[in-house]
Amino acid sequence: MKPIPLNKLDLDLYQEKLDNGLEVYIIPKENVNNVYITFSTRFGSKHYEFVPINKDKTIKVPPGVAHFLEHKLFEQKNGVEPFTFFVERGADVNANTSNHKTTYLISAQTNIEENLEFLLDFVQEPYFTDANVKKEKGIIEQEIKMYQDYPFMVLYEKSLENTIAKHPIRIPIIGIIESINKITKEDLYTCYDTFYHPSNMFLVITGNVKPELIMEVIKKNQIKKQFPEKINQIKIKKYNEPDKVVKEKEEISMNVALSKISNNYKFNISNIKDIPRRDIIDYILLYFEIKIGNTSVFNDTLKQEGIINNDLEYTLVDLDTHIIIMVIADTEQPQKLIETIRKEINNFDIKEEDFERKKKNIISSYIYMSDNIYRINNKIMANIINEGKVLTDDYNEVKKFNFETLKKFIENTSFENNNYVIINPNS
Amino acid sequence: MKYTKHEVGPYNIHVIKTDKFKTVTMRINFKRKAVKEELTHRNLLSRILVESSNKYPNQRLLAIATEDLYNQKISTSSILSGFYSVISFSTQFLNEKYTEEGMLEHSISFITDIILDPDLEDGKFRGDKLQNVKNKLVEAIKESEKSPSSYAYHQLLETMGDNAVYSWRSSGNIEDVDSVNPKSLTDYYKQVIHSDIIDIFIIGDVDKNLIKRLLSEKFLINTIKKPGDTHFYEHDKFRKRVKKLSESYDSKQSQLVIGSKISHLTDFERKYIWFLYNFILGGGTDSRLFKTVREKHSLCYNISSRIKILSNVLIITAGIDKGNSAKTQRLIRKEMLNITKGLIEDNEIEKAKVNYINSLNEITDSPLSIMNHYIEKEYFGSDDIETQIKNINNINKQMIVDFAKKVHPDTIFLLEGGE
Repeated sequence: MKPIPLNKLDLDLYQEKLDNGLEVYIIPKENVNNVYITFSTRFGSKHYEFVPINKDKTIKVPPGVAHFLEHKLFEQKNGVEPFTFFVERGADVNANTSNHKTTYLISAQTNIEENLEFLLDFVQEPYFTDANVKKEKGIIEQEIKMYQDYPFMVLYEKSLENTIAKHPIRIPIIGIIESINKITKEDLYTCYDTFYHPSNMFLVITGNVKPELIMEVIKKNQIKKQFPEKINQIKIKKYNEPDKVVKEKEEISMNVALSKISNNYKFNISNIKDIPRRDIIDYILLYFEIKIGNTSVFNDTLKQEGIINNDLEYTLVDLDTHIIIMVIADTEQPQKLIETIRKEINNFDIKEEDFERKKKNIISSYIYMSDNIYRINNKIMANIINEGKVLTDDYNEVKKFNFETLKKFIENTSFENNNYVIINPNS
Repeated sequence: MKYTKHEVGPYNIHVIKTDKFKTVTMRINFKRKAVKEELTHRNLLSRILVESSNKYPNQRLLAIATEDLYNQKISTSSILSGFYSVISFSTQFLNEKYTEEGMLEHSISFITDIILDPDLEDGKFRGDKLQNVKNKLVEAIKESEKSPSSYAYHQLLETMGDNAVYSWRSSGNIEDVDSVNPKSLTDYYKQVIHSDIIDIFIIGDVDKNLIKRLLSEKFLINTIKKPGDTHFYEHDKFRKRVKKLSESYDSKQSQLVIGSKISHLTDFERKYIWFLYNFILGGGTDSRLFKTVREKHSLCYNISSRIKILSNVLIITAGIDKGNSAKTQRLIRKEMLNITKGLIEDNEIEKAKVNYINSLNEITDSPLSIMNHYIEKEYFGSDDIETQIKNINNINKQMIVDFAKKVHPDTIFLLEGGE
């Protein structure tokens, strides 16, 4: 393993792909005590229509199955509970499921080899029974209800439902109570066998470790285990997502103090060939940042006029062929706010000095990141999911962003395709 | 890592020198004994100061300045800390080795200007800006009342506290907002500068003499401060019978919150035992409450306990269906009683100790944790990391049982959601 430097971050990356297909990425950082290990599969909430391993027909499993499976992997046949195992060794364990992946994570200072091995073992030894699947339904039902009491989650999920016609991201990651109740242990095994093959997974280790030593532990552990022959590419159903939003507008009411709005912009980015995909996303985000971020005249004016009290916020959702930018705010004047946001987004006037300052800001944020093993690890995972590889020179990636390219790109982009959701206070 | 404390008269400077981080992290704390009527003023004051300065007279210009300073972060808070109210101004910026020479001084000026050189009109805060922060505060308070878990939590504390300091809201109160005007806030600001106890904490690869010099030039306050008093609240009233309350609410899920008062702890119990007790009872995913109520009985997704040691209260929270409330309460009560009876496995204590020690070793990985560690030493008299490790290893089962006997269940509040 030869170290690959991460430019300007004083960090080195070690990477290797094992014979069984498992990818390993290690970034040592000697001046901290902790080690952060994430073990991920490219299996998220969007993967519920696919051809299972060793089968030839596409099947559909109930939405929410990836998150359900994440909960259930903490069940072990031999009775050693992962939560207990790690607590006994002073380690923290957790897991999370996104639209794109599922990650099991531990953070520890001591017994690193033992902790790492057990992480590999518990994720690679599923034990699903009718009884333990049934038990989990009550717990996840409470988790769903908890989210239904969070106004932001309701706004976010309603926005996705009204913006996306076909792509599975339109359904909440956790699923809905009806779909959760349909999940069987057979569904879990089908998904597990297909998506938890080492060739669909990756380990990212950041913190106080010796790369060679860690790699040896992983190899020794993996060589003991038998896996089915790897499949080159898991066949996932493709969705012919239309460019149009599904529903132009919707107002709902809930127990909130102030109205909440989300104005959602949908872009088809699959047809743009002259700019790399990741640059398209960065340029669109930069455009929104410059137009409506906390340094914009627009955001400032809205505050002065009393239309908003707190800054506008925006977030990105990636649907493969399309992306969505949601602009979110609390306001007493929802209609007026949406109208002014739409107008501002369609006024393409931006200044180069803002653009250059934002670039400098992004570069600084990478230096902040390089001090923190959790944030470094998250960057590596995001790169692997989005780019299929680790970007080792973020500094120059950002440096080369060009104002004229942004301007030209924005002028050729349509912002017409948007909708809104408003949550009003209960009367 | 080297810690030095400099008592310079009007304030203390705490410098923690380490070359572990590429950042410099700094916090300026103003504290005084909490008075309920002042909390709204304190909250509005911290908000209005951090939104502008004489040099950068609005939020937008201030935000642009932070970007020009290589993404300098800045934030404020106004919180209750036992008997005290603490206003903090926090900032983090890149060490100038990674930016350009002179940035340390610029970044320190930036935060000291925000505090000492505010944007005033005729010697007073501007009315329009005050209105803006009032709107934000009212919005934040109303939002917290609309959040089922936060509403239930505050209702519980208000019932338990009978207007004691730990039951107040650090945000202040909506009813008091109207009475704050530019003059009253400016007068209050002057009081804070001249009579609050001020501590400045700074951590990074910095020279202590340079920091002292920069602050003596830029953070000019000419008063002598008296030393502080204890932060810890002691209860003097305990219920013989637990008080039970419920209220219906517009939410999908019900919130069960249970509050207990903790009586007359020794210094050692307050420093150490509470952590082990809470860890075993409901402090994480390997705790008794999590394993029994969630994993064994599938009654909830989230359940946990936490101890607010400065207020000497234990709070247990769970999101459940209302029909399961009685059963959940029974299970929780049983786990608490079992600990009091000494039904604790040695291995549970060991796990709690290992996790305590690991959390200590983790402190030095993050500048914020290191800073909080030194703030706790200064305010609460916490021991240093080595002493803590030694002491935690000397704890035995009987000590935890003795602690458990001092936990007195006080109030159970059920916020009833669902159809």
